[in-house]
Amino acid sequence: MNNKNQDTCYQQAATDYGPDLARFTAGYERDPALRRELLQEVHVALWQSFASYQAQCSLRTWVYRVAHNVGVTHIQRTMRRAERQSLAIEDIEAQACEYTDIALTERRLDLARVMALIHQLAPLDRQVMLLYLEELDAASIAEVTGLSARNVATKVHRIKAVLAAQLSGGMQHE
Amino acid sequence: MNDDLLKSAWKSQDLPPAVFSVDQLHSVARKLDRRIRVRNTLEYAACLLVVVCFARFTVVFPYPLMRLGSAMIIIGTLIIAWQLHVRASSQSAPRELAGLEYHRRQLVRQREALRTAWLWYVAPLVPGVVLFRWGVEIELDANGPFARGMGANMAIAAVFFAIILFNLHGARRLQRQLDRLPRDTDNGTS
Repeated sequence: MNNKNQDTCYQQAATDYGPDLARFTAGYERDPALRRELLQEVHVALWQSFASYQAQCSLRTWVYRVAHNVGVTHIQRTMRRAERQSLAIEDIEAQACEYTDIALTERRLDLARVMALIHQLAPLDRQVMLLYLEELDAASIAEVTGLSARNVATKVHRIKAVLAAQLSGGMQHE
Repeated sequence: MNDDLLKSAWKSQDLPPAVFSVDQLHSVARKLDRRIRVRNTLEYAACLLVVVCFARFTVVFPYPLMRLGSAMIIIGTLIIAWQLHVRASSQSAPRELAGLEYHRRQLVRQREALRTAWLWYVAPLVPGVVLFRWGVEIELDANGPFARGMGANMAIAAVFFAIILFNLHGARRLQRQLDRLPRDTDNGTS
């Protein structure tokens, strides 16, 4: 692919999927400053990847794969630091209690719990969960992750159960 | 909160998308490359320091075993530097791969680097260190206390073993992660 096409593909991808990329990076990095760096890295990787894009798969699948794989590399690179900084669910719940003092909505509290859960997940499970939250169906998640549709369906089922337990636990806490 | 509300909350997060011009991307890519080059340069600089130090020993010490040991340590260090270069230059998995396959390849690559560390990171130094220490024991410090020499040898061996064990432990950890990956795929390498 020539440079002009590469740039055009990137610009189209950034326009169509820019908000999705921002959310994905939030699923891979908590710290806002590091998240901005990671988002930059995702955009660079995406732009570089379009040098070899020949419509092997849909643009969305390509963009999601690149973004998640950069995220996975980021997790591996920062694993030790992440482990030191990672919060237990109880910590998040404690934070949530502090947030209630400044009147954050229940919606945000639930999102904070979900985010805490996401940051504890292994890379592939995290990928499935983020794609599930993006409202992709099982077939599309399978295409991005390379997991079998059956495996995706099982994981999504478990994710739903964990989310239900997580959120109902949060409500009881409140 | 039900699923739909959660998904809607997820999608309505206040996370402004970044917009980059191609020039900005060029600039960020250069910055990322520079960061990698700095890291590699530091590793080569450490190798250079060892080479300079032992090159000096080949001149300073008049004893043949110590000189030969120093020369072999220099060769061992150059082998390590070459290995670092080869490994830093090898391409990581293409980022457009399906997630499972990408993750698997990354883990395999890292596991192999750790699993074989004894061969490319420790073994090249062993002959030179043994000769050098032998030279110290019988040429430089022939009348020194036995316990002191033995203590130094044991300490060096302990460092080598610790490096090997640490890396093998890391390789086993990565292997466990690999074992946990699902084996059935629909389109993992497409």
